[in-house]
Amino acid sequence: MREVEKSMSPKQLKAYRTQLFRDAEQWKTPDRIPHYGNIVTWKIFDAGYSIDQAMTNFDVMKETVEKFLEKYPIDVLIDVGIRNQFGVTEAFGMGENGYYYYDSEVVGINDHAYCPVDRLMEYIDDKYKYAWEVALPEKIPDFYEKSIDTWKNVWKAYWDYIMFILKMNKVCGKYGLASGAPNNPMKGTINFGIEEAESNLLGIKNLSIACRRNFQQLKDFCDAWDEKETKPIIEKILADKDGPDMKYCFDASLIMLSQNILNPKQFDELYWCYLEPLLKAYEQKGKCPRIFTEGKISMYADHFADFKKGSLAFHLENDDPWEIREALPNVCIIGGLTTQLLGTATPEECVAYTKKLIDELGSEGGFILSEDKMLSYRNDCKSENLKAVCEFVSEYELKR
Amino acid sequence: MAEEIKVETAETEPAAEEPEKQTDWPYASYPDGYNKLLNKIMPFWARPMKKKMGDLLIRVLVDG
Repeated sequence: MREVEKSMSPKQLKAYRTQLFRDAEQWKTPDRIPHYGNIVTWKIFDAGYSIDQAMTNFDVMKETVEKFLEKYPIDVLIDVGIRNQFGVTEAFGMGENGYYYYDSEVVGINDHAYCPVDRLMEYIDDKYKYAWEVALPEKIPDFYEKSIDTWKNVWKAYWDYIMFILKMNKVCGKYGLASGAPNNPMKGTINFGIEEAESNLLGIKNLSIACRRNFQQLKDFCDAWDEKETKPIIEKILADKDGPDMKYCFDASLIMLSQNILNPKQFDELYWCYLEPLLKAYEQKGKCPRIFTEGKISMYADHFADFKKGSLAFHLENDDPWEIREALPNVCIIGGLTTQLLGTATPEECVAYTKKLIDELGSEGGFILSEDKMLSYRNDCKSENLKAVCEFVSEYELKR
Repeated sequence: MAEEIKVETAETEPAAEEPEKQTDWPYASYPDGYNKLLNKIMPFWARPMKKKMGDLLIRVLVDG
């Protein structure tokens, strides 16, 4: 870390790091390139624990995050150990009916879908009613037989989980870690009907079938979602003050995944017609959302070509950053580091590649360093490689 | 060619829709039943947060 940053208080460091992100996404040359840590469960292995040891013990999870932040001078960390709700589901005795599972090496997701296509409108009519009265009793065979004592234990585990989240917020403050993005103006994450259909309601297989056989039902659902979920968010954005919220590195955080299974017509009619007005609202207000473009986005690059510089940042997964820069010279790129590189190369090779990324993509702003995949598995990264990259990027000053 | 005549028999009749799962669990409805359950399990001081925390708990259970 540079001397000037070492001398800062955690609060000053947080503000400084936030400014680095805002400069990069606004295409101003930052003092140095900020590093957005896309690191999830890998840090558990790096701290000497197995996944099951950390997932069942908040003290261990806290220790892994603290060890990570001591070792690697990173500017934002996508997960500070709080993506861990197993305490609640285990208190409920969910067992093999849970969607998520873990063992010593991995946290995984079982394939799941909790809404048939002909009930999508019932779901959007009242999500919580549907979840309580339909989805949960179907997911958990003995749902109606749980005792009040079991429910009290669930509540206790839930409360412990919330307290852990608050505790980890303090840890982030202690290390001057910048905050990625606020919750959406309606609270919770910003999501679209088609994404919810893919990730939870129908699943990839059923959504793919529904796109061909039940297109109008899907369209009706996406329209209803837009009215109920997305349009109120747009109204709030437009009512907000102009300019970026400097408490955060970005003004929103979105995830795009379902574009990977949609053809261009489906993308336009089930996704883009709802996404574009939201992005235009951010653009109009001088704000910049980060979009994690899982899989690829290059096939739809033309849709984003007209946005003003400073109004969009794409966190790339499988796209080549140089190709995206050529196709979208108006969009800030987040990414560049691959798990292939971090897991197999030498520290010298990693640093040389990082320097090339910064010199070619970031010398005039518009680039933020990050990992392409969420680092999750033991072999996703070598510790010495991440350390070398973090030290390099935290000290490599840019010429203005 | 003679038009095929479809004769509805017990075999060709559409199957009756499966009835919704019935339960006499007193907390099965939303929001009334669920609120009653929350009143049983939440400490008194947490009740002002019942709506927000209660809905989030459903999400944790259904997504988790």
